[in-house]
Amino acid sequence: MDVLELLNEKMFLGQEFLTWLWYLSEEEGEVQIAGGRLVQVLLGDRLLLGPAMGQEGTRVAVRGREVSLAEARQALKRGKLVEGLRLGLTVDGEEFWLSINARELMLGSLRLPPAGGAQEQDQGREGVILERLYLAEMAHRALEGLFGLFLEGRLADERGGELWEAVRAWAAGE
Amino acid sequence: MGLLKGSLTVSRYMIGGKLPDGFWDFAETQLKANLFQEIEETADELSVGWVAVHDYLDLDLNRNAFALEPYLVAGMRVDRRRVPASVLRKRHRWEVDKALALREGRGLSRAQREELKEKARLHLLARMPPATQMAEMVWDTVRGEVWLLAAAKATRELFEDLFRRTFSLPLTPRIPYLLAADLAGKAAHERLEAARPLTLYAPEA
Repeated sequence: MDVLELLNEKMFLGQEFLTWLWYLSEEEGEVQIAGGRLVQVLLGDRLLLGPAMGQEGTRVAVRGREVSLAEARQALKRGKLVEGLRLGLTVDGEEFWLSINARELMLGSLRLPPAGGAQEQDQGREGVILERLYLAEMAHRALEGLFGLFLEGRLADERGGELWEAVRAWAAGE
Repeated sequence: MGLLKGSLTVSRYMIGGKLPDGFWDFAETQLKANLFQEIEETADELSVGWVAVHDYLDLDLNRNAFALEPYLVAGMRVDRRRVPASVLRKRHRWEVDKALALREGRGLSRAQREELKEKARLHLLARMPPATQMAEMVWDTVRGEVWLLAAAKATRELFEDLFRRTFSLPLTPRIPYLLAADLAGKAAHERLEAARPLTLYAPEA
């Protein structure tokens, strides 16, 4: 199977993962990922829901920090899943903001925490690049850690195990 | 925006295979063989090649500009000439009118009109200054992971082509399924293969 086929056939993993991230932001505080790091997920100001893979239907976009999520929650009950969102990640006290889509799990508009103060001003171009790469990698590894945690629960059985049961109960407002 | 400041958008790839022995010498040779070539004084439509990340006018790309071990950082510079459709239409019309005047009332075939369109396009291309874009690349040579700091499909395709042409190494997009296969490990591989979409659909009671 080539990359494009895999991308299309398994897109649901991305949709389910992003939906779980939204659930985490509302229902859980910090979670521990592989390697012991603590990560907190914060819902940002953009949320896009679309039909679950294989289904047809319209998309629902929710924008703005103050917006009520009621419409998005209704869309979940109608079987839609998250296709993209803006979220915050707090990792070891460092806060990152990023956009992510379900199809490719590509990190967009990744805003890094400010690099380290007075020391930074003397480190030159090379130092700035290395510092920013370190931070960008931290965000990627945190997200990978979350994806790993998601997969562990999601693949527990064919119905998504306790993880999906919890997401389902949350979506249903139970 | 990118490696030095601002926010980042990252397209991720994995590198297959083993890196060549004497990798940094190899990288320098290959990068220098695929440096960006100016097209300012030509009528070429497109030029794609490597430059230094901090300055797209730095066309030498010395080792101290790209080797931040274990990272290899370089910029992909893309210069492209584009003729706006309205400008082309006008010039094409001018060429057609000129040809018709010379043919004393005899019409032009479809092929002749196409030929004149191409002539008009080439005439205009030579007069259009190329627009410059740059996308940064970071290659973590230890993890075998490459980041392109760009998301547009067209930019990614140009990058994939330039990277393969330069290093002759397989480059695979880090798509969710392949990432999942890595993270879930061998034990969960069958379950991952067998996984089917779940739903949250809750029919009204």
